[in-house]
Amino acid sequence: MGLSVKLLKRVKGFTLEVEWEIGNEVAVLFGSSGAGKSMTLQLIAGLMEPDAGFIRSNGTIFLDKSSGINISPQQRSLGYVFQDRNLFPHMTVRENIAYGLKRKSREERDTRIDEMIRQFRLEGLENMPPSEISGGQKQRVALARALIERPKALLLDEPFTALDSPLRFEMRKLLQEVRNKFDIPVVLVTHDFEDAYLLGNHILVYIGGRVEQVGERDDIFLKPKSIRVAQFLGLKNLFRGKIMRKDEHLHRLILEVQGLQFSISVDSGRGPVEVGTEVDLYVRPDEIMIIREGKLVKDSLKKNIFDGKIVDITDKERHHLVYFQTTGGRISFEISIPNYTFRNLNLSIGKMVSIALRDESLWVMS
Amino acid sequence: MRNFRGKEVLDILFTLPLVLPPTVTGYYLIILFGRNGLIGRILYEWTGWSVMFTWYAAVLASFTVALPLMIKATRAAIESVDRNLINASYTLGHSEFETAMRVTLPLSKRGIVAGTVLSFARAMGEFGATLMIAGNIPGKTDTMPISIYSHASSGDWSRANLMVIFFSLMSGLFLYIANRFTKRVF
Repeated sequence: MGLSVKLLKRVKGFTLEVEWEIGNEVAVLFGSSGAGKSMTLQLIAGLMEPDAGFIRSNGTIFLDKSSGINISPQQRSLGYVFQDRNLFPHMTVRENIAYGLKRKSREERDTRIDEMIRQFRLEGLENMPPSEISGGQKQRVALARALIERPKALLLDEPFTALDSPLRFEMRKLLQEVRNKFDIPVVLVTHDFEDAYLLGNHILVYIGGRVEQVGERDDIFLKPKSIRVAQFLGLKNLFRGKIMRKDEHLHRLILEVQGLQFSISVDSGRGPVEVGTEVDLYVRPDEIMIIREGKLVKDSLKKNIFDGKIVDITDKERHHLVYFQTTGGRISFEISIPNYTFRNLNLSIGKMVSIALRDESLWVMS
Repeated sequence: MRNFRGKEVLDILFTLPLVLPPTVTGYYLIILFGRNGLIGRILYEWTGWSVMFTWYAAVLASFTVALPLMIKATRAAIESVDRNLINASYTLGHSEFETAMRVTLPLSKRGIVAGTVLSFARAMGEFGATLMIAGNIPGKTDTMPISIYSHASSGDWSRANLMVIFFSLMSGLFLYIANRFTKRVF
């Protein structure tokens, strides 16, 4: 089921080497530009040929280098929508959609085209040239054209990047409808954080021509596999430290960063961690607790308490960012607090406070 | 555009007449089509006819000199068609030929028309190569530029003037048409 690929492609100064499999779902290839996402789509579509590997979709082999199978892009029957400049400027909206159809009787053509026009809400635009319709409408026409022959998979290369945010929201809904109705794998390429977060049930993080991490959305944003993924996601509070002790009995690790010790549950991380190894620590900004003056701290929070002062505060509309520096200035944390908590805490720059790190706030990457 | 071996060599070969002195191009045409030329000899042996010093030779010379302009313009027009659109056509199941007919050519039509007009204008003005292989036979192979030369050198200024004015207007018109077509509509 779905789409499975294994690709190796070397071009000047860049190597793409990926292997992944998805079901009939929306999968997001998420990465910065030049990570090989678009190249992957072109290879799947057959517009480029890999040096080695295979591409299979719902039982059909599109390409298998080891047995010499290579189906032409025309025969692969995939829908492909680019970021922009999708539509043929010398054809009307209707002609563009019709271009996606294979040979059929006139009657059948007309019914199919009318159906797509209705489904993608393009009524009234049929006879307009692409130059006279809006960006969102253009992408809807491109989708209709790509889907009219019921392709085996849909490939979308940054399809919403050129659109304004309200439109992007609408397009996201449309995409969900498409997925539900057509029941095919949809591969979407994006470098946009929000697109990836809102669309991806299944996210593949591309870094430097490789898939660095695959997983559900929360898996990736909350539990990055490596410092490279964490940095790519723009996560804050990343520290390099060393594992000093391992307490098998209590199931905990003692990690030292800049002379400060953190007590971490052995479950809060990926991969084996041995005493003496250097690892990366991510402290989630929204899981850090600022301790109210005079308030007793629960035992479970006492393991990681740090004293220091507030060095900066930023108002972020829905929450506040508080910058905290430990006494002696060894480590700074960015702390994200909901507005109502912020008001109750009565914080100000320069104020001395203590923070407690819940177990959920700590994540170790080796 | 597809790459094949010798693409560069062919490109240079077809572009040469654009930069060579027309007399050199004419000289090559003599080597090829002259009565003892590589092609001309075979033609003469089979048919007893030679293209040299006929009006066909004037056509051949004009064609050879104008061809590079046509090729350059057409190639530029075709290469300016967005690669995305061609790829879109392929993924929608259309063959290379079908894509060329329904996407590439319609979108490069204006550039090709402009190139045709320009190369036609260039062909009309051909002088050097024509003189080499078609000669200057009054009423037979004297093209307008050659006539102007003859009239001017024999002091027949009134006729020369008339032709020069006519030629200038015609060339201006051609350029105007070519410009109109190069302006993008899409």
